[in-house]
Amino acid sequence: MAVTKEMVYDATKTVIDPEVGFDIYALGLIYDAKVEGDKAHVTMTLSTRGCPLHEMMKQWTKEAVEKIDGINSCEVEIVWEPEWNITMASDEVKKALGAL
Amino acid sequence: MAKNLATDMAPPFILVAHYFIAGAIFYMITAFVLPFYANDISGYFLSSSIASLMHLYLLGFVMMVIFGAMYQLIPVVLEIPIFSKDFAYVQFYLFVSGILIFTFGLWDETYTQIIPYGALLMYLSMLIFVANVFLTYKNIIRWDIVAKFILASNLFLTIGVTIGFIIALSLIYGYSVDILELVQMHIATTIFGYVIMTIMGVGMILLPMFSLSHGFKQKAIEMAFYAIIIGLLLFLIGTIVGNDILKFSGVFFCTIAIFLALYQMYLIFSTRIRKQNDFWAKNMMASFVTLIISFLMLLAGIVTQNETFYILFGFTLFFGFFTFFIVGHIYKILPFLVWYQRYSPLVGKIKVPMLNDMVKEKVADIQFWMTLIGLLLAIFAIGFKITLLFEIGAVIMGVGTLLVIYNIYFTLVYGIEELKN
Repeated sequence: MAVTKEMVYDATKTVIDPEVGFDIYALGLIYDAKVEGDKAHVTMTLSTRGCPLHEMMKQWTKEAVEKIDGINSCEVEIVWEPEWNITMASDEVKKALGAL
Repeated sequence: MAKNLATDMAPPFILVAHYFIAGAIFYMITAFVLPFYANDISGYFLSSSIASLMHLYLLGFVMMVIFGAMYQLIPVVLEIPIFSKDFAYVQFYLFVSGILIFTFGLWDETYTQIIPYGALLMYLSMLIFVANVFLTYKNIIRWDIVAKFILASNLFLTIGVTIGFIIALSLIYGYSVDILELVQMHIATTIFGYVIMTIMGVGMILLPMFSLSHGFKQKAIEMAFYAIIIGLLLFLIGTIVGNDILKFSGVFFCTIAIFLALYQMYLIFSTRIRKQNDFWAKNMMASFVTLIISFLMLLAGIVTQNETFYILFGFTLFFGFFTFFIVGHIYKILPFLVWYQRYSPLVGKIKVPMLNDMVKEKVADIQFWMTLIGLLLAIFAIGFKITLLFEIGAVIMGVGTLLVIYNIYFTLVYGIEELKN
């Protein structure tokens, strides 16, 4: 069975930001995912540019996606445009942070 | 392209822990001795007794924690590794020994001859720190406002500690210098030039990070950067040439800078996504309010020439603004460091805690109120010269300190037993 974009998104839901306590997909940090054969490419951002977890988040995302059957390697690209904002997060996150 | 910030560039946890643990111990020592300063605190602003208390607190707690935090933050913020981790260890041991000798010499008048030795150790330790920072800057790529603040603050620290060392030598060897002028320049360069400028700079990273603020303009903090530099230079030149107009212009520019920085903090907080007023947010709000109060006291002192206002300015700035800002961030930075060291390798393998789990929230909350109530009582007591009330306030603040220490201990040992099994 071919790996789909949704399966990659599901894998990113296992990566939790320990400061905020939500997964990076719910936080709206995942911008895009592409799958070509056994390779995945995830485009994501971080909630703040000076985040000390920068490389760890990238690594955790890579490891989570590479656990999918059929994916051998995953490249994670961190981008700063568009800048992340709370409207990108799920309603559950917005509510928990007091933004709803 | 940023390298691996959290692993390759950041210093080992144990290095930063040295500074944080020593800072906590000095914080506790200050809390124990503070009630005994009830009589001294209503006296003359530049007494040796008050100098010992202020140095114990500023060097032992405030600057100790700032140095530790800077070793962690500089690589993250500037995206370059610290020049030398070994320098940081040498600095630590010189600094601790220097503080102990220096403050004891100031506190016990029969041991004043040891003051220059303590001052020398501290001076060397500070020079090592600034050299480490300047050498780190050799590789800087991104010159943002934070990088500018850190560089400028370290230049002022170099000037400030050099003046401080001259004062210490003058006290013993009686050089023909105007001690009062030197003390004013020392206070301006170390407290405003280093501590406050550093807080203004790193605040631009820490506050948006922990409050999840976005989309705010930075013009106010950029103007504050130039205003505080102009203010400090005018003050220094005015003091050296004996021109009061220049000195007052310096104070004016510094005050403008503080209020611009406060306006910037307001902009950050008004765009924050995290609306919960948790212990961090409460500490930040209290720090900004006490900063405003302390500056009003300073201005009142300048206008009325009443010593009490200067004491209130120093007390509110040190035990209000610095305490709330630093304690609030200890609750954020220390759990991250412990979590990173202990749990980050286990992500995906076991259920790892959230950073907030590593702080006893209820204890932090009670601590906040104890510190605030104690501080307000002490401020009131200084203003109206009520010794007993100052002692009560200081004891309540001391209980708050013990609660901070408990939370630091709780974070440091978090999960050790569980992970052994």
